[in-house]
Amino acid sequence: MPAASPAIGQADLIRPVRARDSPVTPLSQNPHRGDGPKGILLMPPIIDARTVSKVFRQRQSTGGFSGALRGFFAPVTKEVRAVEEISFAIEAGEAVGYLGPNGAGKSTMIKMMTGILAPSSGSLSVLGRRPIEERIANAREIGVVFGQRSQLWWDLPLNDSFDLARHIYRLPEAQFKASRAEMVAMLSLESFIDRPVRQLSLGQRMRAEIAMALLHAPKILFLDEPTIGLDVVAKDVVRKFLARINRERATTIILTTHDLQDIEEICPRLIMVDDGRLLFDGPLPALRTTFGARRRLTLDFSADPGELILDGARPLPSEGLRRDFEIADDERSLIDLIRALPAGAPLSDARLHEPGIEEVIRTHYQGRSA
Amino acid sequence: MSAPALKFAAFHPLALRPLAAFATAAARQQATHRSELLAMAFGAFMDVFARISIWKAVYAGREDMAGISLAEMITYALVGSTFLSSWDAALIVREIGAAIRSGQIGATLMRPVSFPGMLFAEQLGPRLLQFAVVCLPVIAILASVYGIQPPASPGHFLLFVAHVALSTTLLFLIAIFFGLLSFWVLEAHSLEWFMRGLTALLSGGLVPLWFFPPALGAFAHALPFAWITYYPMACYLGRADLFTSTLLFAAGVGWALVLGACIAVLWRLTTRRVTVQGG
Amino acid sequence: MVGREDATSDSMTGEVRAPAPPGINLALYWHLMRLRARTRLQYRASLVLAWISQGFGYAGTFASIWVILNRFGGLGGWSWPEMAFLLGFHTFAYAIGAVFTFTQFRGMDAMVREGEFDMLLVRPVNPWSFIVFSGVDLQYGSHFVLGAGLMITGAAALPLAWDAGLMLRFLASLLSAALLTGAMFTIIGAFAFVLGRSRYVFGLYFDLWELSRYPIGIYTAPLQIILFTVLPFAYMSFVPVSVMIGKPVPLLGGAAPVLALAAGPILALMAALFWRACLRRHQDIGG
Repeated sequence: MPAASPAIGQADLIRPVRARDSPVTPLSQNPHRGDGPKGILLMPPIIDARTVSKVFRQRQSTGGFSGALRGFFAPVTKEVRAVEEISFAIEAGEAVGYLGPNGAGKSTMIKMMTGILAPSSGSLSVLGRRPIEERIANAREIGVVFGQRSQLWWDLPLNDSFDLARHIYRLPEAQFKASRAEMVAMLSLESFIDRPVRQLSLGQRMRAEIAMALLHAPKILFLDEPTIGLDVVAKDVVRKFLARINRERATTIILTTHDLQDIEEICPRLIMVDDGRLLFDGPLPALRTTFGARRRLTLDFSADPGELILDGARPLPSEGLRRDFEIADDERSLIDLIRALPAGAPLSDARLHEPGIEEVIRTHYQGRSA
Repeated sequence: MSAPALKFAAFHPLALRPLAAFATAAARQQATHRSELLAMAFGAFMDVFARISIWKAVYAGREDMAGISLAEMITYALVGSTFLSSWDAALIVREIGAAIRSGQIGATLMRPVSFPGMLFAEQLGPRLLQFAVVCLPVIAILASVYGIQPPASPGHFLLFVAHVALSTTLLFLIAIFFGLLSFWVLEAHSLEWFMRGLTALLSGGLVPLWFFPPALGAFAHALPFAWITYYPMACYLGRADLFTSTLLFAAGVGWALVLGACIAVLWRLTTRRVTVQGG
Repeated sequence: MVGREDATSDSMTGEVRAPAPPGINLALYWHLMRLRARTRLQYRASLVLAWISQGFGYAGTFASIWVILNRFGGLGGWSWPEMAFLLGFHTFAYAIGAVFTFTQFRGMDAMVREGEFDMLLVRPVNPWSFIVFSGVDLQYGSHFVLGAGLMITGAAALPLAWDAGLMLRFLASLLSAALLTGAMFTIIGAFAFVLGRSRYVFGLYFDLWELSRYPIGIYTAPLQIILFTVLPFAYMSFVPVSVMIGKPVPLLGGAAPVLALAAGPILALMAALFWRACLRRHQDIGG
């Protein structure tokens, strides 16, 4: 457990928590300063977002052809602020999880970084370019996998789709063949590379999608919900592969997900957004501290201990032989807590739960929506 | 079709109530797509306008052709291409084809309404709506510019109204027939185009059969397609006396019965096959 | 912010890579067309059947027009051979344009709505070209056969001197009319970025398109003006064919020979600008 952690109230959570506020500040968090803690000569960040905002003007449809016509010439719009003044910097070789509930602006941010959408304000640079201005140059050096959309040619064998990638990225024959062989080996595509894509299972297809996105050896790989809908085994394969690509090829990975396990296994760094705003940016373990999630104590008794008051522990609604408490003080050990029990209490078992990130995030969102 | 409409379904296959429910639900659904209705009205307007322009051009300086005057041909274009052939019934072929391919036709067997009956009801509602909001305005606007002839007599008019019902029924039956054929031969997409080609020429939709070369004309007069546009308009314009017109109408009803019987047989064969195949 | 010149991406990672060749990726578009054709040819029998049946459907309409011309001797001053040439040209030129654009842009609104279009933007390709060439549609076989057949029927009976000049004019006219078709479908497709739903606009297109297979002179003057200007369907076949067979063109007069060839390229240019503006708008405010 980290050394000190001031409890942070709900009100504070609305304010974006920058990494410098958290006790652990990784190298990547301070890219703009020349004096890295380890004395490494810092290169410019591979992705640099500064107060990037995206405002959609959503058309208020009046319906019908006349409405559509009116909307065409004099659109009645309302503003939707999908991304609000988000800043972060990502170093080459990082793997970053971009997390947030539906409608938090995750996909919008990915779309801006990949050159699909233009930021409304702020500056965004990817590999030293503005993606929207130099979309094609940017596209040549990134790989994109959108979990719900396919890049593959549905009716033709997988290999034909790979061949298409060779033409799209204008890869020299030798480089393409080497790259394809590597992908086929790493993702075990051999058994179905000659089968039409429509016959592949979801897991096989996702492996193929990822291979397709990596054939041109992009410097950055963007993945939007890469494990959505996959079974446990397929998810595991995808996660292990992404972690390996990040480690061995130093491919920078940015991925959005609902599944926290994706982040736990692939991404040392987490960026959390909600309602378009940045909530947290830092290493995964710092998340719990920053959000002040409490540990929970469960005590089992052999006989009903009656009214139970425990110093430093807030009783949670429970009665009978099993009692739950929330522990505010991160310093207190299990032994400390048991010592605080009234003497002679018929204790039979005691457990202390560390909150998982899932729990941390859930508590946060529940607190927000309430 | 929406689930609520099904709730009204009684358990007699010929019960009219469920069919009426399908018809109104389909009509209501289409009414919500005002832009599509407007587009449809625009299409009908352009179509009729093109026909009138063609007739005006070919009649230039001519009194009549085969005993038909320009005024009569303008009326033929106005009434014939709105009430009698403005809808693309060939789309039903596509719908049935899709239902067969997706296996949905198996599911429809479990419903208390026969599938052809349901389709008919589904088409009828929007059709009546189109009569009111597409055909009538288009006729009114263009008639005010180019003029329109009244029906030959009250009797002819009544018979014409019956003809409109017969025309809609026949077009529908032909479409269902082609649609069910797609279960046995060819594909729905191909049959759809065959039907379109046959109807375009043989119904008299664009050119009345009077103007056909004799051999083709004789052939076309006998086929059921002629009752879609040609015979109804001939009746409206009073080309034959009431007695002959009534006989011709009866012949059309005969064709409807023959087609109905063919469909019943095909439907039974198809459903048997579907049941055996397991849908 | 890192300047582009002093710190390109390559210098950031120290990796050396051959720069991608500039210019249009012709090899890709050729490859896409071949892929598309292969996909369609997996179902060869159904394709042939589609040609035959669709040809039959069109033949029904053409036969109706023949019946009129056969009975009345002409339509607005056009004899059957002239009319056959007009119809054939209309069908053939339309089909050339439609092969590259119709089914592609008919599905455009769904493509934008479901995010498939965005997938094109993350690749180093021109999205318009990708859509056009990856969707090349082989189903127009009957259009070409019927169109060529009607044109030959008509031309055989017409006193035309098929010298190099006329041949050249004929080919350029076909190209212009095909470009016109492609440009119009591109414009309707670009509506998808703005309107959300654009499919029914194709219905309106075909209503006007059907008018354009007849001699434009038969319509009232206001409609003629519209078809010569804001909705330039007159250039689909009436203007180029009139010029070729030496019939007078109302309203245009002496400008007709030039406009017959220029209409397609001009509208194509306008379509390209319109497409670009709509795409820009989509990237700026859409999503």
